[in-house]
Amino acid sequence: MKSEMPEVERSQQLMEEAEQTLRAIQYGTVDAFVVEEPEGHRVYTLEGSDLPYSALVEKMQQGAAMLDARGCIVYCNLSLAQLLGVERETIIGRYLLDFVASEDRPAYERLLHGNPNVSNEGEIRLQLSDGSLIATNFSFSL
Amino acid sequence: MKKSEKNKDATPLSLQEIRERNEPGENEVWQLRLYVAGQTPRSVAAFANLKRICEDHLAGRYNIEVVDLVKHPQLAAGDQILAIPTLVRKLPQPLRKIVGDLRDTERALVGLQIRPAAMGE
Repeated sequence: MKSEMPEVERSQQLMEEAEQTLRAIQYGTVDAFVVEEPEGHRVYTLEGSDLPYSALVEKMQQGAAMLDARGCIVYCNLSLAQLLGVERETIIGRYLLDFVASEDRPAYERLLHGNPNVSNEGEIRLQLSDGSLIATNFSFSL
Repeated sequence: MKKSEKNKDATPLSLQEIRERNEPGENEVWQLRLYVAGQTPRSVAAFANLKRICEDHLAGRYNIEVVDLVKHPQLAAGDQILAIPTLVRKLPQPLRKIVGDLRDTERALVGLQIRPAAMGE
């Protein structure tokens, strides 16, 4: 709208919008922002639309972990921590290999370093801290 | 003020009459555009609140257009959207903006300049 709005009215309106925006941020009634970048507009969300996904991973029964290239655990969900019988906080930063039964370590390495473009699956036994073994099905993907 | 021509020989308008005159006609269709960012919690809440407000106060004479700025960020430029969700009243004129998820119905009604239905009767 190309308005013929007088200057004063126009700046009043801008002021009102700015105040509204500040209030909305303060009370948390907005959760995303449009940022103008050289490449164009971009939207940043505070609590992303990926929230359902992270909730899913957190709550699911299967154990899930994210490893870095060396097999070091950078994320692990609650189920996996419970399965291993270890506090989640102490798992992060450890090698998943440490929890694999020694006889199954070669198989584990093969899965870990297999073709990154396909999902690598196999049976691997985990060794718990009390020495007992549990059979699990591993699935790796990049 | 051209609007007052009809009343030039009448008594001054009451506050109620002035309010009615400044309000859009009963049959005018409201064009509302809601800017959201995918399915963020506040975006979802804004749509639910807007839908409820419209059904309660503008039943049968409103149009809601939802613009997802995650899919089409360039559309933020037109109405100069900064924070999301933001509601823009395109019609009736003049254009008005309400920033936030419309959780406060009273404030939303004032922002949209909708008179609560009960008060008018």
